[in-house]
Amino acid sequence: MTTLVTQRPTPDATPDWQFPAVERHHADGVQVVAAHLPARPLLSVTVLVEAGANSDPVGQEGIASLLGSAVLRGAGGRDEHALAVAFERVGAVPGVAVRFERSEISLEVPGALLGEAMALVADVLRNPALADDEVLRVRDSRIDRLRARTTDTGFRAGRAAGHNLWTDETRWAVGSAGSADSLSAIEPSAVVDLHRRAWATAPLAVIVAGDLRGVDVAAACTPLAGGTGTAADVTVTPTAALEGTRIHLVDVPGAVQSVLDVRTVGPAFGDADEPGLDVAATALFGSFSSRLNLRLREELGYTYGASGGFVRLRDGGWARAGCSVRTEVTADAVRELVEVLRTTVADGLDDAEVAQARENLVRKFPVRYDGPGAVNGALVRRVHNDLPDDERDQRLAALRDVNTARATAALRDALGTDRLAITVAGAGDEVREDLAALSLGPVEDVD
Amino acid sequence: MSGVDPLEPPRLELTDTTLDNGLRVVVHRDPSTVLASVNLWYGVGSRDEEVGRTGFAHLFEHMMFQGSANVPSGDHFKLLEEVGASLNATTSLDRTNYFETVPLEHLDLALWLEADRMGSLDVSLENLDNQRDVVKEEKRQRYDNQPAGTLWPDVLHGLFDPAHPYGHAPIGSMEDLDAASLEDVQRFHSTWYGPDNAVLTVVADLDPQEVLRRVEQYFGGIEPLAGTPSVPDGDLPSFALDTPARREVTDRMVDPVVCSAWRIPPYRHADHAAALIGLAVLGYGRGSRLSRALTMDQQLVSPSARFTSGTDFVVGAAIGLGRFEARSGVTADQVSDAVLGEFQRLVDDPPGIEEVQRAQALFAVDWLETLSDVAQRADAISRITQLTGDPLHVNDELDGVLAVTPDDVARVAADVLAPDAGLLLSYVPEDAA
Repeated sequence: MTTLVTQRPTPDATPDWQFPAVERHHADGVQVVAAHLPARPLLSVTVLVEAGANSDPVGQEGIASLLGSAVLRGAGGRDEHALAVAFERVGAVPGVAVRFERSEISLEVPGALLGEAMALVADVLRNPALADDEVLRVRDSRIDRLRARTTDTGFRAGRAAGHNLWTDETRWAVGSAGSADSLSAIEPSAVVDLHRRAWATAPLAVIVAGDLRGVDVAAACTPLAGGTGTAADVTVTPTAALEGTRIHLVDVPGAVQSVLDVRTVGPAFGDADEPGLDVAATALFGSFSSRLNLRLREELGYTYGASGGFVRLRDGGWARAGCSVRTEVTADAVRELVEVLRTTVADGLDDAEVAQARENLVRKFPVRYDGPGAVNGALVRRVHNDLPDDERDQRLAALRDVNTARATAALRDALGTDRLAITVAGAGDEVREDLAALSLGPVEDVD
Repeated sequence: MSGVDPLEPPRLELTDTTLDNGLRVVVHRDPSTVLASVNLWYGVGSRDEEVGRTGFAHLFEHMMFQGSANVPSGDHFKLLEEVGASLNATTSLDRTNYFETVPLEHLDLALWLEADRMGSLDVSLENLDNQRDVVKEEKRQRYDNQPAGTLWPDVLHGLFDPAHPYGHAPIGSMEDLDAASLEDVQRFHSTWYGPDNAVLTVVADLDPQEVLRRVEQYFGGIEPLAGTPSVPDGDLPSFALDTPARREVTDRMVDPVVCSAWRIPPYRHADHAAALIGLAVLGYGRGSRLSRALTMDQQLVSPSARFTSGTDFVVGAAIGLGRFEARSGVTADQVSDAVLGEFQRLVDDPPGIEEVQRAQALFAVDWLETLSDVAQRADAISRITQLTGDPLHVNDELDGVLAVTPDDVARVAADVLAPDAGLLLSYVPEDAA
C-alpha cells in the first residue's frame, strides 16, 4: 500500500543571492568583461560589435546579416574550410548573430584554448577575405534559404506581421536577415564597404563567463585590440502602418494549422516601468501559467502553447502574442486571444496572478543565471545598454516591490489594444469568412 | 593543438543508492550552485507502446501534469513556477524524463511533487480530452504543418519493421491518440510508473546523505510495481538494411530536402563511438567532409553547422542521421548522389588522425557544455545510469569517443555506414513529383 506525504513541504529560508561579480579590463579599443563561475569548465564567449541591422538601407535589408555570414567564409589567409577546421580543432563552433542594434560573434571554448580562439575571431572581424564570389555565394545561399521557407506557415506569419505593424520605411518591418528581394539587390562591394565602415576598426567588447582559474582573459583578448573607430550612431524612427485593428491573412494552401501573430506598438527600452512590465508580461503571456496560455491551451485545447512578450529597443519597441491552432478554430482563437489582451488591459491583472508572476521572476533569478551561457547573455545586454554592474541586483530588488496596481499600470502604459496588427497564416479559404465575421477590423489578403 | 588535453572533463563524485522499493537515487554534490536540479528518468518510452496505442507514452507524459492525490490539476506547473523553477518533461523511444531546477530551498517541493505523481494519479476524462487536443496540436505544429516535418517518423518507419520497438515515433498517430481511454491512462501508470522503474538524480550543494533522507521521506512509501515488463526485444540480424532503401515523399516544399539514415551500433556497443566519430568526420562542423564537398565545392546544399548526428538508443540499434536542404535548382538526386559519394569515400579514403581529432574536439566541448549546466548534468547522470546501470560511467562517457582511432572509423564505416546500408529519403515539391 503506497503512502504519500500529504502536506506540501514548506521551504527553507531563502538565502541572499547576487548576480556573479565581474572583472573589467579596457585597453587599446577592447573592453573585456569577465565573470568567474567556479566549476563551469566551458567558457561562454561573445565578442560584441556595436553595429547591427538598424543601419541597413531601405531596399537592402539584410546586408548586415549577410556580412555576418560572409566573414566566416575565409579570413586571415585561411579559406572557409581551413578557417572552420582551425576553430573546430579547439572545439569551437563560432556563430554570428546580427541583431537590429548590435552584432555578436559567440563561441564556447575551454579556458586553456581561449587565446587561440580569440586570435581566430580577430581574423574574422578585422581581416575577412570577403572575395566577391564568396559574398555572392553567401548571398545566394541565404536567398535560397529564405525562399525555401515560404511554405513554412510560421515563417510566413512572422514575415507578414512586420509589414502589418510597421511602414516599409521602418527598418523593423523586415527581419534582420532581410528578404529574398532585398538581398538580391545587394552587391559584394556594398558588403565590403559595410565591413570597412562598421566592423574593421570598431571598438569591441569581449564578454566571458565560466571558470577562469588559470585563464588570463585580458591577455587572451589582445588579438582583438586596435579598434580605433567609434560606434555608428544609427537612429530608427518607428512608424506604425495601421490606424486601427486589422487582420492580414496569408494564404498557405494545405496548412493544417493557422499561425496567429498579434502585434502592437510598445515602449522603447527604458521608457517603461520595466519591473512592473516584466511582472505584467509574465502574468499575461510569459509563462506556462500565464492567463493567455491557460485559456488557449489548458481550458480550450486550441494550441500546444500560446505566449507573448515585449521587444524593447533603444528607439522603440513592440508587443507580440501568438500561437498555432488547428484550422477549424482559427477565428475562435483569434477572438479569444484578442479578448484576453483587451480584458486584461481593461480590467487589470488580479492579485493572485501578479503574486505568482512576481514570485516566479524573483525566485527565478538564480535559476536563470546559473550557467555560463545565461550569465554571458545578461552581460552582453548590460554592456550593450551601458548599464552599471549591479543592474541585475537592482532589478531583482525592484521586482520584489511590484504589486497588482503597478503591474497593471505598466501594462496599460505599454500595451495599446485598439490598434492591433493581427496576422493569420493558414488555409485562407477555410478561415477568411470566419475572420471577417469577428468584426475586429478589415481582413486583407497579403503575401 | 597537441592532443585534446584542454578538453579533459572533470570527474564527478556520485553517491549511488537504491531504496528498498527499488528507486535508484544518484546524488551529485556541487558546491558551485545555489540550485537543486531534480531529474527523473522512467524506463518507458514509445518502444513500449501497445499496438493501437502509438503516441500514448507521450500523451501520458502530459497527463502527469494533470493531478495526483495531493496535487490538483494545474498545480504542478503553478507551484513550481511560483518558486522560479525551470521545468518540463520529454518522451523519447527508450524513456520518459521529468525534470525541474529550483532554488535549493525548494528541493523538498520538487521531490514532493515528483513523488506524489509517481505514487498516484488523479485525472479525469475532461483532463484527458483536453490534453489529447493539446498533443494533437503539438503533432500538427511540430510535424504535420512543417515542410519535411514528418522526417523523424519516416526515418523510423524506413529503418525498422513496424513490429520493432523503434518502428514508430513517440508522437504516434491521430487515430491512436483518439482511441486512448482513461483506463489506458491508469493502467499505464500502474504498469510503468513505479520506483523500481526509475532513476532519480539530484544535483545540489547538499550533503548526499541529507538528500537521501529527504528522498526517502517522500518516495520511501511508494510501493514498487508488480514486476516491470522487460525491455522489448529489438535485436537485428545486421545493422545494414537488407536492401538499399530509397523513398521519395511529396510535401509542401520549395526545394528538396534529403535525409540519409543508418542503423548504427547501439549505445554501449563497442563500435558505437566509432560510428559517431565517422558521422562527425562526415558532417559535424563546417570543417567536415560533407560541408566542404556539398556547400563549398559543389554548392548543392545550404550550409549547416551540423549535417549529421547520432542517437543513443539501446534496443538493437541506434540511428545515424543526415539532413540536407538543396539549393535552388538542385535536384534531390544530385544531393543524394553527392551525399552517398561522401559516405563511400569514408570507406575508400578513411580519415586521418587530424580529421578524427577535429571531431573528437567537438564532442569534448559538447560534453563540457553538458557538465557546465546543472540541469544538463543531472539529465546526463540519469541517462547514463539508466542506459548502463552504473552512474559512474558518467566519468568515462567521453573516453570511448576519445579512444576512437582512424582504423576504427574505417572499419565501422565499411560495416555500417556504407552507401547501400542505409535509408535515403527525399522530400520534394508537390509539382516536381
